[in-house]
Amino acid sequence: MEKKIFLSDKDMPKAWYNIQADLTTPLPPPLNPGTGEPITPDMLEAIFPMNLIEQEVSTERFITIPDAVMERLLMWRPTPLCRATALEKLLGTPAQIYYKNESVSPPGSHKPNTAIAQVYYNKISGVKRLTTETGAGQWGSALSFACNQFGMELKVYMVRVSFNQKPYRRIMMETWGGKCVPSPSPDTAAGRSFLEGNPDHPGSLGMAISEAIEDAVTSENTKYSLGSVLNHVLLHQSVIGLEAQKQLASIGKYPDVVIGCAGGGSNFAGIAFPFLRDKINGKEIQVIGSEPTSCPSLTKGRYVYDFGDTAGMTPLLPMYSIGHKFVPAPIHAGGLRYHGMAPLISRVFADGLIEARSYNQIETFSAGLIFAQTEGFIPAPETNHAIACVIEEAKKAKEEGKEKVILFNFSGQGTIDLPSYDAFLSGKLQDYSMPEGEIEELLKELKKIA
Amino acid sequence: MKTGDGRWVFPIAHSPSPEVIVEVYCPQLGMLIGFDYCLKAQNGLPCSNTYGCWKERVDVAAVLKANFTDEELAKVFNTVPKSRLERIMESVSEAGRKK
Repeated sequence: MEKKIFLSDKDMPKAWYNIQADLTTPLPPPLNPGTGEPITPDMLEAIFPMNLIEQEVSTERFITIPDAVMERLLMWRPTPLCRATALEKLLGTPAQIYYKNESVSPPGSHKPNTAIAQVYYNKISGVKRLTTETGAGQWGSALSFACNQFGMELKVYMVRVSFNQKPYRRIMMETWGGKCVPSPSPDTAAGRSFLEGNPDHPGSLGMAISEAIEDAVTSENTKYSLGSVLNHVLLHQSVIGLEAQKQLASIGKYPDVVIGCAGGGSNFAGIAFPFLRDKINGKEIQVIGSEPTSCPSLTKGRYVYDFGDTAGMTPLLPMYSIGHKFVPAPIHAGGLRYHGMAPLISRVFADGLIEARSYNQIETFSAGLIFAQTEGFIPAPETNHAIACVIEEAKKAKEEGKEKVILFNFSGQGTIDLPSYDAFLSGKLQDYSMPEGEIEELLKELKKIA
Repeated sequence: MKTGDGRWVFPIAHSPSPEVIVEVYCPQLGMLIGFDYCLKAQNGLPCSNTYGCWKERVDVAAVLKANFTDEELAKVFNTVPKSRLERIMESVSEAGRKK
């Protein structure tokens, strides 16, 4: 039994997989509600280079990875496929659990898979400078790393509350040469307007987006970069699943279940889409997206093609939502209305190709702790959603007595998110009683093994 | 929480007032966030995920009703939050006007 399955550099996939080529129902274009007409590529050209826009709308099944991109990806790719033997032992499951370890990249997550590609395509388009926004800094640090690789200037607008609380992400960005400022900032008209009302404004992701876009649109030779949601981002992440297919095949395995956490959708798509191609072509395989109960875009939503606000003034992608006409009973639907899922993920969910599960923060951090205390790696908090689902599936396999092969994407490491673990371990995140809970039982078992 | 005998216990939290510093992991920002931030996250109005993120710990409806008008709450909770691309396209239009 091998603990780690490697691919040699020469076996690295030479092309990305584009699921748009295999969708039974093509992805409808995003609409401008002002005109009811699709948003055209030229509307996106203000912020993205045309070569990435072409990828955004491409239906070509495989798109060759350029040599310059491949050269950079080879710094940490192919990533190892690891078997979680200690976790299997703890769970007492007949299931074989494999994880694709994307945490081995320099910034510690799957994000540079698309950051490297995006910077390259901007570079060959003559772009000299990029802007982006970042919440906790995972995307900002990945893009900073990628910009450094290609000699591209970068400015990151980081939500101020995060900028103040997570200095290590800022330091990572600056170490790779990126400029990181707290948002709202005095550097843009949008930022100044927010600061006028409150000089200590903690910021929000929406404000940071406004600043990064304004900077890109109003500066010379500058474009904007986004690390999730868009089709070309998901395309670049397909290298994860393509490698996993080769690695599993090399040991004569094929997964019964593929699992990834689904926030903006890029890491889930990365592990899942190459396997969904097999499923579309008749293979029996279960593919599960795991998401937070607080923002259950897939598990509680429905597929709509709808306006984004009551006035119907904003363009909207076809995504899962509860629709703008919905009026919640006093205040009950806030968490059901998160609107951040990638359109391609929404599409494959609507087509019945994937299923979704949701887990609360206690379940996910408990799962992360179990993983850290068995396999050693401390997962990023979002990765914990996938691990919670893996544990559930492995226990189900035990109940059914089935030797399932479970594959999941270990999308990032959590050493820069240790304050979250500290909050969990000190009881600050705990929100309900689980004295008889399954996670507790597992932790007790863990103590016996240790 | 880990007790003296090494057991893990998850006690039921009581509803804090908005001033009490209690945190949840924000799936949008990817970090720990206090309730006070969520209540003002959208230009002084609550984040539309406030209910989903806090409902197990706080009587969210009571806190919101005590701190915001019906119109303000309707503005947040009777509209679908904008997707990332919606926000981007909106910002492009806005920035284009400033150019």
